[in-house]
Amino acid sequence: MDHNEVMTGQSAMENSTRDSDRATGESGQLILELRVPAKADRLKLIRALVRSVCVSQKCHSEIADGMILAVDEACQNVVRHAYVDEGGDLILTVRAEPGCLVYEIRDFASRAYCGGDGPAAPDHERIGGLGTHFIHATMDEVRYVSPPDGGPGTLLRLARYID
Amino acid sequence: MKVHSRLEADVQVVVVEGEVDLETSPQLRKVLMGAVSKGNGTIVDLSGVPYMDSSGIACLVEAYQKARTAGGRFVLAQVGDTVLSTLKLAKLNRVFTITDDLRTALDKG
Repeated sequence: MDHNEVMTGQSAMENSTRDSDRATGESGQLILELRVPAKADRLKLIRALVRSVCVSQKCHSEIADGMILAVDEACQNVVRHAYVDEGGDLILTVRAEPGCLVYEIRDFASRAYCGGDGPAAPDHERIGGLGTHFIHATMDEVRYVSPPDGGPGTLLRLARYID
Repeated sequence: MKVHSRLEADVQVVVVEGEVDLETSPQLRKVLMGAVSKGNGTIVDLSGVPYMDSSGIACLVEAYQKARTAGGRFVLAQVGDTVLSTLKLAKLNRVFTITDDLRTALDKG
């Protein structure tokens, strides 16, 4: 097991009211923050945690399924493309804003790998880009923002209205 | 995830159990391509698949294209609601032949 894997999910969920007072510099109530190596075998854990968040927020099952898929695809992009040979972590942060769940996926890759914010058109003859299409099709907001600490890497913000 | 293939009524039936994602889709791809290469029709039983991401979908598409090139049938059987919703997002529900049960899929094959 990787020694740098820190899971704050369960404790963060249990203490979410206290976490909202933390000086995170971000709006909304922090529900979950998870840092894991950007590896394919972590995606199942990520999906399970997002599913737990959806249950705790009483999300409709279809909306929950969409968010799980989008977050999985976004994290999959980090696993596939962010760290070519160097290895690295990804951080998933989940916040509750009024009527909305916000997911931020952060990597620290030294090279740019993400494309624009526009949706990729589905085409069963062209397999690449399907994950990006899923993200745009299931989330209300998809945008890349500058990492708050000004550091390297990419920060992808996904938001979904759940009311 | 578990995946295996068996011959039934002269058709390759690929049975998949578990979530299909970036970690497990290579295993699915290997079995699917092996099944399609046998030249019989191929049925993919997805009744035991609660989740499939784009990497899993890509495996299905690749196998479908290979089957189509070889002139063989390729059918998805017993697709759960979540996976079906994902296929619909990609508009692939209009591309694949999808049946509600294995019996119907075998009859089509």
